[in-house]
Amino acid sequence: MLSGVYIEVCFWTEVARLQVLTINLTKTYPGNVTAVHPMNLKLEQGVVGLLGPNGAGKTTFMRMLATLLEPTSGTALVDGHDIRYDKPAVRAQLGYLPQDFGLYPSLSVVECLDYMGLLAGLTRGKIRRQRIDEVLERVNLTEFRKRKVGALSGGMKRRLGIAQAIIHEPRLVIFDEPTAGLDPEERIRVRNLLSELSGDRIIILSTHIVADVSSTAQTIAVMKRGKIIFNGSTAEMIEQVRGKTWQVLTDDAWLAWLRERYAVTEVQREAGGVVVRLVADAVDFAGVEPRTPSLEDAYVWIMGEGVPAATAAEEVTVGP
Amino acid sequence: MVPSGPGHRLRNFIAAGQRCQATALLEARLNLATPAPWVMGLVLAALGYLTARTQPDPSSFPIAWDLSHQVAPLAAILLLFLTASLAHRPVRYEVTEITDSKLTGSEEIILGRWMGMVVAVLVPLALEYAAAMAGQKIHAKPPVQLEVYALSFIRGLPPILFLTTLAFCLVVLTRVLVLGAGLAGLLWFALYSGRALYPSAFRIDLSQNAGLFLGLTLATLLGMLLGYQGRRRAKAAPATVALASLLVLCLTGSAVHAGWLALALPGKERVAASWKRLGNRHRRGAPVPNFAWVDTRGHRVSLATQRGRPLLMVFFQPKDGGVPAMLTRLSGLPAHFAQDELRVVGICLSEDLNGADDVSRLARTEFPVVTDWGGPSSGDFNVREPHSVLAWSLGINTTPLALLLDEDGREITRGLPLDERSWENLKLEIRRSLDGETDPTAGISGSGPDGAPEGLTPGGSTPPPTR
Repeated sequence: MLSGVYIEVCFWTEVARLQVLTINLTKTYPGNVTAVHPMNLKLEQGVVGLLGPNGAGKTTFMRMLATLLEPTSGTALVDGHDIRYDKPAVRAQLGYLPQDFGLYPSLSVVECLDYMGLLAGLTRGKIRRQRIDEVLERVNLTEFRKRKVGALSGGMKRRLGIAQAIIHEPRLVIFDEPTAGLDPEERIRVRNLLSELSGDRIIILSTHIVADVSSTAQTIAVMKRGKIIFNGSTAEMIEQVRGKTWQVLTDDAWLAWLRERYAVTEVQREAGGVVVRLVADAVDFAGVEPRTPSLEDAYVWIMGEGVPAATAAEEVTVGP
Repeated sequence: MVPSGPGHRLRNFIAAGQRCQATALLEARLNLATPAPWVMGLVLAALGYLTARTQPDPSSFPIAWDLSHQVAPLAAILLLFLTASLAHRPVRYEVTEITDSKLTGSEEIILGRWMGMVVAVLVPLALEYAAAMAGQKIHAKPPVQLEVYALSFIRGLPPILFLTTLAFCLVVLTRVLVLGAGLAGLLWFALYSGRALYPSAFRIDLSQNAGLFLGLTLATLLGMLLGYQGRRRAKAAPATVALASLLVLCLTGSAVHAGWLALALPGKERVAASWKRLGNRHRRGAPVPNFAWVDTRGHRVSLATQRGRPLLMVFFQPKDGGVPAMLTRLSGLPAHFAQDELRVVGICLSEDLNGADDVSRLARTEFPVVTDWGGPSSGDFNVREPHSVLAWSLGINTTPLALLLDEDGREITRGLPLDERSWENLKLEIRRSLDGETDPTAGISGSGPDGAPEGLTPGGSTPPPTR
């Protein structure tokens, strides 16, 4: 009897915690181009960084989760709701910010949020207005509430995009490249905002910029050619390259040589030559020194497995 | 656990309505904030004003008839461009990505956008009608009849709505603006070059197919929702099945309506047989062959059932000047000639079924009004190739024209005066004709079967101008 109660308590605890589960989720475009290979993934509360180069299938994956794209096969469950057959229930818990998005330029910030809030299910005007005030405060746009959307800067538009995604307090928030095209200052601001948002919700943050997730994500999934090639915590990811990160001072002639053989993650020019940071099991080079690994090193290392490391490194934009 | 049950469904439905309304208002506002609808409105207003200014008869009915028949095709083409350009706004495609991820269904957004487009179409049309009414008020004495203009507006709207919806849907689905232009070009060809080639049920320059066009409009919208949603919805999803079923139902209904309309066109399907039976034109002195129609009230009217009593047949076209007033006056004739049991039947020589309907409603006629049309080709009434079998048979070559038959169905006289000034004269001439007196002044018009000269004006009156 007691064990029955325990099981029930565990069950309800499990239900209350949001979970996204993909079951053989696949997308194949016409022409037999498979953007997402059968994917089995379990996402839990917190910020999940989805890393991968352009064309890895991140956007396709997220559009399927956002119920904007029909999977070719398999499915995903958002809090137990099937994305194929229970779209309203999924959308009720979803906030989505696409990579390229437009908002009506002739509307003011408040009008835009009012409309988006209504579409998101906030039908009561009073509650909607209250939420608009809250999210504007949160994204630091309160003083621009009357400004036309068309007159906002790129960073402000992005923050407005975040505001519309969270206006109805969704439990699953998907941000596709939220920092793309922003200046460093605005990028940091957006990053901080994303960190503040995490709580009892899942935030999927897709990016090809490692620095975006290093400060915000608790979990990282790395996608490559439609497949998840790594899924774990930030520490676990860094652990992959512990003892494999090196630095060496050399010159331009040797730099080319190093690029051909190792995954070079950073090149810095200094007065005495070129400081090269690289990841490898072992480096056969005079003057090489071990270094503390970073997330960028781990990413380059993971991406380079099975393909020439140099190619993988070129596909990644590291740092802001 | 998602709540369910009738109460929840009702709340969802109300919320969906709110979202749809909000989208419609937003879209209407955005559309009207662009110069396109207003520029188009100015163009259509100019057309409306010119229609009123150049119409020989300055009363409301012919001007309004011109607007819904002559100007409407051009308006449809212009508005088709307008809707295509409004639908093709890249910013909307980008917004779509966000709005589609919201709780709202895409159907609500699309319907809202469509409604916003309809508002943008209605504004130029309203300006056109307002300018026509202003033109009539400025340049003519007859009072502006709002009811007449409203009727014309309602008659002309369904085909315009269908064409603009089609353009809107094509552009929204494909995001290719040129499709709107292509459709406009096709429409131009269909209206001005291929009129004789397409079946009468699709005679889009006419306003008689409101039901059909509304059905097609709905089918187009449903088709777009299916196409739009098809890309992101499981094929067997209940909403997809419901949409597809509705579309099939709508298309079936429209097809049945079109078939019924084609059969209902008076004489159309029987025209070959009628012409064969007639062989040649009716010979004066012989009883007029029996013809049967369904009048504007839905009653069957046949010439055979009118035998035994004198019958005044009044041929007219809706666009003839002063027709409503003329029919109103003629309603008093049966009472005036009650002893002779005179009957009157109005015969509208127009392929526009609504023409007879509108004019008899406006005139509040108390006698049957029928449409006698069914020639093999389309177009306006032509004396050399009349589309009315009866008019052809009897050699009617101008309208309005009255023809009096005796109890045996033989023609006594034709060309009786019908204008307002000759009202007493008309009664006098009918009296004389019924009494068997011959009026030497009564004119004979038309290339009648007895070889009468063609093109004479009906005697004893100055007919209102006809075009």
